[in-house]
Amino acid sequence: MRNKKMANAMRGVASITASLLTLSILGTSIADSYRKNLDDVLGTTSYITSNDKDNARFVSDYGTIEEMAEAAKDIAVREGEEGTVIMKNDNDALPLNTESVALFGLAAYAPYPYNAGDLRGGNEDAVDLLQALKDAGVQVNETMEDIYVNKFMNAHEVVTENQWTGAEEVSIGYDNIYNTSVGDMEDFAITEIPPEKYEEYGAPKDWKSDIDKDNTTAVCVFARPGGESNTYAPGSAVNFAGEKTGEDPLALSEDELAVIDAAKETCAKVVVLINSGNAMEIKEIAEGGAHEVDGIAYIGCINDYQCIGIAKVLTGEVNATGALTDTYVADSASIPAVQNFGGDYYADSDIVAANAENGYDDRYPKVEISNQSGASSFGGGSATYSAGQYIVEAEGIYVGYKYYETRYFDSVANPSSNASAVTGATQGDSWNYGDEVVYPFGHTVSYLDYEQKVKSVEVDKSEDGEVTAVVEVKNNSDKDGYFLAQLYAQQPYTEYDKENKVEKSAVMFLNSAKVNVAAGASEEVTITVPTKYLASYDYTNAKTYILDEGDYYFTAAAGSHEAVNNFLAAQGKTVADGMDAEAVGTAVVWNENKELDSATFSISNGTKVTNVADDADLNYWTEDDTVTYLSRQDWDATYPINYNTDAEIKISDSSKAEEWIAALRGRQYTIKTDEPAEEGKDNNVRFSVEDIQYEQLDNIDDPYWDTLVSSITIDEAVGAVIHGGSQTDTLTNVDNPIVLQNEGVNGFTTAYKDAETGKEYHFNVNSQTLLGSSFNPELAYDWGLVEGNSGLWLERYALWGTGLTQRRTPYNGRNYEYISEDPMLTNRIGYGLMKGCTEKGILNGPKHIGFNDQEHNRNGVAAYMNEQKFRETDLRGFQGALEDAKGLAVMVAFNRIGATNASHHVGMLKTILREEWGYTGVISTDMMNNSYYFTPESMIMSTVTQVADFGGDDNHINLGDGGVDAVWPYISMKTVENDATLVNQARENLKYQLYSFANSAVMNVSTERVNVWWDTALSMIKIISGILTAAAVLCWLGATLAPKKKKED
Amino acid sequence: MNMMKRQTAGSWITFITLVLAVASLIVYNVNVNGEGYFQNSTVPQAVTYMILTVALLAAVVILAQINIKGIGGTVLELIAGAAKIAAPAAAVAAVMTLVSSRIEGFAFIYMSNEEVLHEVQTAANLSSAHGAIANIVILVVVAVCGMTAAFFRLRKDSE
Repeated sequence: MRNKKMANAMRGVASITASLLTLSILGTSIADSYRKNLDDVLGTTSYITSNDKDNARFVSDYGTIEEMAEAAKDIAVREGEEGTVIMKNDNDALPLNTESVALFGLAAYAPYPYNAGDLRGGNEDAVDLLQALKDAGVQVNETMEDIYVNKFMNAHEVVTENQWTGAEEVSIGYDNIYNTSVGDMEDFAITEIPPEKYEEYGAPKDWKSDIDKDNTTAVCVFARPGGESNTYAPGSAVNFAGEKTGEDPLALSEDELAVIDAAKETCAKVVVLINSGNAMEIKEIAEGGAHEVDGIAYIGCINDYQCIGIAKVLTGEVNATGALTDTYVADSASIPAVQNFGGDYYADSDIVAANAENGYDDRYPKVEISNQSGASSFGGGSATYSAGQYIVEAEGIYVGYKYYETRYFDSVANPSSNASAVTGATQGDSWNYGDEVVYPFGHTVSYLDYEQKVKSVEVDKSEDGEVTAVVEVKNNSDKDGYFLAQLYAQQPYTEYDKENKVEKSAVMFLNSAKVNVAAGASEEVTITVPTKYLASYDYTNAKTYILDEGDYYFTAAAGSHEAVNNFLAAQGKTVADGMDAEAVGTAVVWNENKELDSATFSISNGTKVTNVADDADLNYWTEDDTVTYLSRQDWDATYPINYNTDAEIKISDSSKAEEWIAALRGRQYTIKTDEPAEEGKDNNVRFSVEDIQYEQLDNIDDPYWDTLVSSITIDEAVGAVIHGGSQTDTLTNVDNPIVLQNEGVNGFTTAYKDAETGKEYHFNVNSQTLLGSSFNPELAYDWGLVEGNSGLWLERYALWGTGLTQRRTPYNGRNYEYISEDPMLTNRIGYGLMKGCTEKGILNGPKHIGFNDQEHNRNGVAAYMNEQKFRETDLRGFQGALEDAKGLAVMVAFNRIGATNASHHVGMLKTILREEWGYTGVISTDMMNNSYYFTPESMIMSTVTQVADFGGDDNHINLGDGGVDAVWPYISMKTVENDATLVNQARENLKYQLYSFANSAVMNVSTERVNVWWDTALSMIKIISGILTAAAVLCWLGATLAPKKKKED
Repeated sequence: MNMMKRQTAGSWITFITLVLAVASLIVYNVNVNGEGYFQNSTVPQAVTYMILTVALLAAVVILAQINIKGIGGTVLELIAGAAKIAAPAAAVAAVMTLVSSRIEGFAFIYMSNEEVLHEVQTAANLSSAHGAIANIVILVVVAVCGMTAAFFRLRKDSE
């Protein structure tokens, strides 16, 4: 009996230890794959970086962390100073009379965003508007402060428990606050408390009598939030009472207007501050509006310290030099791009689905794949190509001011263009610029009177040439001051253009600069911009960039409208011809281009520039003129219709239906079966400072790089790209460093903790909105340097640290992450920022190249457009950062360009970025959330270097097991090893990635993987359970096989 | 002594474990065929381990009912014992393989940025995640019960 009991016990023990052994073996493999995530959760550090500061190529400019923090704070304050835009200033409302100011509106006491996180740093010494105004010497009305702070809002800490770590997380909450969540084209509640409810919410009955009306200026602040996957829906406003009003969510609501009326009733002057990244509809408070106020200023979306700078502007301590990055219109319904926004299904979208009726997708035999757009933009759910919906960007290049100003120009200079027709008008029976536009792009009001004039322009008409303009800035005031000079141009609009559908805006912003000028003095400032940006893309005839013959006008002006009037005046027009004001400046003409030039800019970096996105045009598929693109030849006849509701688009009607469906199914590339790839072998070169010398750093074509990447195995080459994850993968024969990716657009969200003091420093203190409205590429460069320096302090070298997508409409919920509606302002700010960051060796990847124009249905919506728009709008916004500043990384948009997933778009990513722009950096997808939408072979062929997912060091097909891939079951060693083109392209992509790392601060450090406590624990469990299993099994066998004892024994 | 009377606590635990192991396969199939994040997201390796678990447990149950004396009996006892040791280990392997393949999905559903949580955490996706979690939990229970059962003999000795 004793033997049996022993056998039972030993068998039981063996089963436990064998299970533990299994757990520790498989657990080690899993833990290794998700090492970064485990480190984050458990607070361990698996990768130790050694920084040889004596030999480092990139070193911080700051000797102490305090100096580093002070530099970041200084940039943030400057953004407030330089980005605050005075839009209206009557009755000397601004600068504020500091003796008595009453603050109205919930956002006055908690400007957006008020909580730390992706949008805001959260430093201990952060300063909000109320404190900043007080610090600037403003006497704030205590009654209103008490009402809002203590009665309405009642700030309190909200403690939540992190569901994974259990750590307490503290955020700020309010009893009443404005809505901070836009939602995805949902109703948007505007929760400003109207004055009629003040008493109900705790205000004393006689609150009005506590304000000295004659001597008090009211400052009303109203906010509109933003957010990832958020899109405003036109007409979706809900008021404080919870009723749908049908008003636009970006218009001031009836409750907000009531607050303004109450301010007007109780104060001598009223100033409204716009606290938003989305251009709002504010005609009610502008000149002539029913609720007109004395002053309006734009303060963007603030961060920790911007309010200090904003207060300096409001109190007049510094001159106001910010300018509007977007056109403020009376009604967003007048915007051509808004006519095609949101999107809807093709009439026969189900034809794309894979099923018994349509035929299955041979990559997924017998799997039913629908074509529904994901209810959520992050997908998941049933198998779907997510290819059902589309929009048509029929406005072409006429986004923002380029539409309004060009139509205005034509209404004066070219009446036969039907510029004054009613089509597109929202304010009357005919289209009138003054009715439609409230404040133009570039609009700025300076406290100090000044003039700006282009003194000379030189145009170097060569591939790498520059336009050099000397602008004289004259300070007419009796105070020394800081001023903004904006350079605009007008290209000729020729008969050739009309015949070949080349559109030209009547005005284009080129660049800007700021300058200090002493009282009564003048200063000259030189503004340069690459000449290539004067060229236009002719997608129908020359199929390349052209520079028309004729007169090119240049002017310096305080905004796009002033610039257009300068151009009109230079062409002999006056108010008598229909101009809405006489010109205040002059224009300089450059006319040395005597004939159409379709050669100079047809070659870029040795690559012939020609059409690469014909199939982005819906007309390519429908094979007729289904889409009429907006043209200044006839504003009336070409104003966009809605191609979802006013046209029926059937894929099956196309003779190219099969090709169209294949494109929508992500079949941009088909894996070959008859081209065996060469397996990688150790070539005895490594990614090391010894092997990478100056020649290798300078030249990606150096043979070293091909030798290095040819050593990468087939499994790792393909696996490392398609399972890019949130960090780089280790490659066996390369010994490359681990590079962790970091968020976000306002700087590294990771905090620096001073080991000595325990103090935390947050360097994500940028504001994209105010950086844009500063109109100052030098400030962007300074921020780039600081952002780069902060990476060196944090020992983090890869960052998704800015957003350069064009703001196509005001409704995009992520406009607060982007710069402007104008590609060139975005281009120049991006150039400055990226130049600074790259100089410090940081891979700063801007988001999201390729028309991420709306968050709604972003994971699959098709954006159709012609190639002129393709090249001259969103892509141009990125060109300054990636080509001119030689940026080191970029993230691709989620949507499709035409039928093609932006991450599959060879024309955009390989031909334009890699070849025309000579871009050698990292290309990452956005989060790969739908394996039927993102296809690995197509991403590899478009030169994507890493597919973003939550994975860690998983550089193999099927996460290391070989064989069939876990995410894409049709991908396996067997399927890819017979396609040398695909495998070699994957190696080529990794070459770009490794080359970027070599030219970054990654080379400052050596990364060493060390064992953390859980590695040790897993190893111990493995060893102990292995020994115990063996021992227990032996004991069990012994006890089972031992002879039974006789009872008498 | 009839067959039912010959069963021990170990037999019943093993039988329940077998039922749970079969249930885990059913839950897995429902999960990958039902609407939601993990639809069509098959994990063949985990299925192999689950089937192996079921087969080993079934072998234990069946072998326990065979009453052979002598060397044959000893061999059967060794085979059944080995199966008892291996079954929970196979269940653990299934758990780990399943967890490994589901981690990213869970990360999407539960750990995405706050702004997109409301979109990621759709009813279908949450239901799918719950199904996957249920699958994992059942397999963990199978492993624990299997280990427990290994301590017991499966049949009372004949008089």
